[in-house]
Amino acid sequence: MIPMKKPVNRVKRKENLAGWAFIAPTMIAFLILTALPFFIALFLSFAQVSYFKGWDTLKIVGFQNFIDIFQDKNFVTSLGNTFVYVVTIVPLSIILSLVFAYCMNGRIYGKKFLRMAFFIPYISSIVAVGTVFKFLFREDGIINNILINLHILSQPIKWAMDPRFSKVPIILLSVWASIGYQLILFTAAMQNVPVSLYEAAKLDGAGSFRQFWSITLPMISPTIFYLLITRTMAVFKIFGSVNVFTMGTAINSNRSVVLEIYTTAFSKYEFGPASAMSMVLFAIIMVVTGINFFGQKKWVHY
Amino acid sequence: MKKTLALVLAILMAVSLLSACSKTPADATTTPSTTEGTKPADTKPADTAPATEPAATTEPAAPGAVSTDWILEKDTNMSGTVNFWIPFKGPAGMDAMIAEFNKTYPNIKVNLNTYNNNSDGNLAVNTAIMGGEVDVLASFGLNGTYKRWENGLFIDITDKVEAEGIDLMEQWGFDCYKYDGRIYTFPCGGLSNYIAINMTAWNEAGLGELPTEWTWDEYLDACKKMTKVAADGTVEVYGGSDYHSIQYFLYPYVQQTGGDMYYSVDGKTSSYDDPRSVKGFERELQAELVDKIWFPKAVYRADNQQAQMTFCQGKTASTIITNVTRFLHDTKTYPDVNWITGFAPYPVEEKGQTNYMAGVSPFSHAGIATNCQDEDAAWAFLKWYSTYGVKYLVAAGHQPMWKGTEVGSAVEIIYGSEEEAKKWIDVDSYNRVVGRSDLPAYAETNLTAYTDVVAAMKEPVMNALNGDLSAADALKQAAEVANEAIQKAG
Repeated sequence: MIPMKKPVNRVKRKENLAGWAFIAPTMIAFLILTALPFFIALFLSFAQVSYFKGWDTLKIVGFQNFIDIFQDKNFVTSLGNTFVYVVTIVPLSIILSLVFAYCMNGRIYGKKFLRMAFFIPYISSIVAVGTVFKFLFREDGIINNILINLHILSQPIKWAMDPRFSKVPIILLSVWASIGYQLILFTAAMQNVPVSLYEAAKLDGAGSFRQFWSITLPMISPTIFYLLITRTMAVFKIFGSVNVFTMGTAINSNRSVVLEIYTTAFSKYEFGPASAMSMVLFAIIMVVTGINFFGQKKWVHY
Repeated sequence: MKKTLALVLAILMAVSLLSACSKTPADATTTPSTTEGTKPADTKPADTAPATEPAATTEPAAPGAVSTDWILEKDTNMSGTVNFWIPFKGPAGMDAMIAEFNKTYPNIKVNLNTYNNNSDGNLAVNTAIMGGEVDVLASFGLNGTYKRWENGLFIDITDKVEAEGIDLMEQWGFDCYKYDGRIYTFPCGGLSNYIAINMTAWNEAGLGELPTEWTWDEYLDACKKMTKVAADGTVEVYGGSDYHSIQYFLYPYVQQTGGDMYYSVDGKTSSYDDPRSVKGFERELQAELVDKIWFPKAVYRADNQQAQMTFCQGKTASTIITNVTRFLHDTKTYPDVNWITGFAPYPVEEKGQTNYMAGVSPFSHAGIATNCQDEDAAWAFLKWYSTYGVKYLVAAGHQPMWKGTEVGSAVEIIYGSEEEAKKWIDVDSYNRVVGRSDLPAYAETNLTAYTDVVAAMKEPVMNALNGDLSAADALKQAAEVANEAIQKAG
């Protein structure tokens, strides 16, 4: 038995090496492009440095950046705006895509076309679709014209400028652009629900709503949970659509945290405060994700 | 076999990823920077002299009256390459300027790089400077230029200026654009503010001769007469418009003071709550939101439109603007321009008042970028561009600040000939109003907490333009934030 031990170890070591080699590209990319910038940002959040003059200007300032950003009205406003985006875009996009997926799971005419139509916004550039939305929501745009002709409005709304409405186009754009991807996941999840469950429910006299509520929803709850987590993270980091809509307007009522981070870093060149903002956002995402994971035990069925 | 192939591919990917992080020879040449003479970012603002009637007292020199012996290098056959960055494209005068330069310096190759003069475009420029891709930069606006001085993105040319005996005051009329007492750029480009008028609309309204001086009341009355309203009450053509930039509400204040638009005359507080600023802003809100005789600035901002667009599309019959001459004959972009454009001076509060908006105010600065690859060629080009070359800025609607610029060549540069120009503009009123460096002008020189002071007014002013705040309340809010920033900066 003893002579056999060495070759086994050699084989194992060889396999381990091969395994490391296989994951090396991803690991290297992760370490250089994700882990390293994260730790640099963490370090910079306690420091001040001139972007142009380099590390020679580095000064450690402790928690001063964090104190400063919470005294910055723009950052606090953007934080509030981002929470509004999260609590509107995430549930709206999940509910709508669930409804569409349920409808398309049955026998409907033009299913393939509809799936494609829903998916196209997801694969389109957010800047391109954002520009189209901005055009639709101009003061003299189609949306205002429709609402005025339907006598819902008497005066056009300045969608991009009015603090009361400036988030609406961004929310609608984000929901519309994300439905396609979520719809595909929900459709796949619904098709994996065993047909026998529905047959048994029918025999017991359950109607369509009862079947959806008691069978479909619990069976696809892992997908809902997955989307809840990933969408929440994505919406906390919302940038593209907000950037398109806020460009040139100089109002704060629809600016997001990531846009604020970008502006602070690349317009004002204040990398310390920008890093502190990104750390605050990271902490918020961690806490919200943790709460979601804690809560999922009660409603997700694996 | 498959596994081996996959393994080889994975290793190749890993190696290529790592090699991308290695230092290239190009990186090695771009790391050192020469930022001597600049202050650290956290120190007091620039060492600038206060502006007291800056251009108002500086008469334009007749061509030949300024010294030019320093402009050309002894050896004009010197060779080199200059990467020149400016927001204007080749057809907007830059190709002609470079061709003219090459008549004097045939062996210096100038590569023109056009950038967008917005925050993303300027970020790209700054990144390019750090990468050694920029040799000479035309930097627009004091805000962006000041940041570049402060952060050492221009090389210090003080010694060169002193060695060659260049007198900034004599050449460009200003010697106050220094940072920490050092010179980084020449203030060679300027702006002329005027009212561009659609003469068809003007004549249809029976407004007579174009004015050589007028008050705000007279201008707004003309706007009212040129405004066309449809039967359902919607405005088809606005009689007038402010320029699309937010800060233009401060120009009536500047028209009267001639100094810094964002600061009080003594420079110790902001100008936002000055009665002259408030009155100007109230007038704008009245014209845009109540009388509806001016195109609303809120729409400009929301829809990313600009004053030249609405004017050249016939949506406005007149507009406050600086660069409309560049767009009128651009038939591809603006095929609807079928009228002659006339020019009237920026209005004054009362007749007989000094109009500090009548002349040419400094706007663009040119300097050699840090990490410049060929400093000798860049210096030769910088000197030529900042003097003989700046007359080509008129093709893009900007104005030369160099005192030796030949008067009268502007129309030919923009349109090719006076005959061609007459198809688009009223040449007499153009010559009377635009590019008048002999008339009083304002100049910004105070940079105390500049970025914060500018930022302080944006949101409240936008809220007022949107109709949610009164002019007085908006400017009071702006002044409180700006004054705090000024106080903090000491």
